Amino acid sequence: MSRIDWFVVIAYLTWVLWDGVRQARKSKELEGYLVAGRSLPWWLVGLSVMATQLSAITMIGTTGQGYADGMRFLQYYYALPVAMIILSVTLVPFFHGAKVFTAYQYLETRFDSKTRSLTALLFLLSRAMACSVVISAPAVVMSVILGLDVTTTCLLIGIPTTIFTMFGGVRAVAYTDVKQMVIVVFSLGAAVVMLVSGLPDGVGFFDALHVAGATGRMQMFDFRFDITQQYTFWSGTIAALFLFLSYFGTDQSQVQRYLAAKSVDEARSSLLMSAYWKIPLQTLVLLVGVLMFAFYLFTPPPMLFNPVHESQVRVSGKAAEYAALEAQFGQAVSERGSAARQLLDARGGAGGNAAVADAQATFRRSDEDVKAIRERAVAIVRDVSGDASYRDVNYVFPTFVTTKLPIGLVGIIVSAILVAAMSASSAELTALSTASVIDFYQRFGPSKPSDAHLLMASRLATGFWGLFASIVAVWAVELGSLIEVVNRFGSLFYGSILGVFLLAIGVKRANSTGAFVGVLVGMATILYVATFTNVAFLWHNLIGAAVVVAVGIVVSAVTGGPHKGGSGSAERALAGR
Amino acid sequence: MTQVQRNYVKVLVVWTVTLLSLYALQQYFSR
Repeated sequence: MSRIDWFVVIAYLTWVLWDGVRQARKSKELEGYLVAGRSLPWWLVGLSVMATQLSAITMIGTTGQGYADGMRFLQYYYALPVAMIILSVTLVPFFHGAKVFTAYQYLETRFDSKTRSLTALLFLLSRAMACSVVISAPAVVMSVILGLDVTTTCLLIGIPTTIFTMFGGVRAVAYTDVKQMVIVVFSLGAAVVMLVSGLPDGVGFFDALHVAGATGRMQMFDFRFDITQQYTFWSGTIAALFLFLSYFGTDQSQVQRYLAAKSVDEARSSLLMSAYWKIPLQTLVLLVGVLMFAFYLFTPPPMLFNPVHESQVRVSGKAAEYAALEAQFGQAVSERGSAARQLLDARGGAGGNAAVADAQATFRRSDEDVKAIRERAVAIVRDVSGDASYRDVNYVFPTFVTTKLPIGLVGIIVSAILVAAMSASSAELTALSTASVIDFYQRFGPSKPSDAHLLMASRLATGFWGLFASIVAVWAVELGSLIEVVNRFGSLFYGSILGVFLLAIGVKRANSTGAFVGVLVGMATILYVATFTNVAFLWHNLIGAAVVVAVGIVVSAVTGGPHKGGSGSAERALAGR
Repeated sequence: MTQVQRNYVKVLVVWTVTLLSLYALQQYFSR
């Protein structure tokens, strides 16, 4: 990166840090710190909700996925608008009226303290790991791109995030999210413009999409009903509905956003913003990947996009094998470029559908050849580096940015990636701090603590979780796939947590024993399904929720019905607080 | 119908139109 780009990155990160710390003057009491005094407008909360999900992993991983696999991943988001409507009707007015700080507070009123502690503990364990992955995953990629070591990159993301979140609380997180959304959308738009302008003469935007479409990269609907497939229309609309209900309805990192809205209507509007914009935004992210594929049809790509691993391989015992593969790759890329041009010529020629179908088949074969050679190269890297989870596609977008875009724009896009990592991890930090203080410290710590005491405890908890996440992020790089496994393990429990909330709100005769046993059986079932079957992970959410509700109903009936007067009394009790 | 309910209907209409448009784009660019 040039000095000008470094200047842009440092100036932007400094502004984010300074503006975040400045928010401390408006966060002088607990409610101001944890939920911004319940005073934020809908657009700010809405942008914050969207920004929390648009992490650096999205900018790096999803664009790479678009490059390698096309638009298929878009199906994952199809149920999101419906989930937002369901939550706006049910949980949003409920939580907002109850004036709670965490979603788990409700479970104690409805059931008992052990059910609240279990769900809050599950949240803390899974999100603490997720927070470190949010830092470490982009840090691994960006360290290669920026020429820094991984530890420095993890700390470059983790330490400023911890500082501004510790001082500014949720208000600082929300304003950082707005800055992130603006720079990320600008970066993606600029990338699309630069990619299209980088196509050769005579090849336009629509030609690029036609060529990508010939390889299946424009497939956005797969109507096969196969629960072993990760992304199909049915998993995206049925199974993902349960994931989104759980994520936006019971995950503290999301619930805390709309608890900060100034009214129920503003909270609802903030969620409906995602309902309108999430699918178009995700389309834009994947489109960048698809256009990179088209761009590298006519501009020879490197065989591997990670230059560090490439140099390692060149001095290893596999150097000769790699060099031979590189020669084959050059030939295959050249043949694929010619096949792409022939396809475009056939589309504009007089040969009709038969000529187009022929050209498509030739192009698809040549693309498969290129893909097969790249897979062999990645296998060599995995062998030489010992990194079994290495994914070269994560380096496609950052490498494109730093090698093909003009000075200045590189700095802006690199800043966008770093701020996306900071913003997503800061949201996790406030949620972790809130759950630690409200669900544990306030209940099991000193009796009747003052507001100032709890505010200080919250700031210290944020600092603790920030340091924890930064240190684990550095450590995660060493452990590699193990942390990924732990993170995935945590995400298995979304369905079970949704199940206990469904039981609490929808089943009047459910009692605390039913809920507690239901959650444990739900988690055990999902662990079994994830370990011993091929059922795709989106379906785990539906299975988990269904098992918790079913077991909860049966155990509640066996153990004598409701102990606390059913959900109606719980709602009244919360509303009266 | 309240304003909130009208907003939900608007979201559902935009959602349906979005999915239909994406399907049309898939068919157009994959042929």
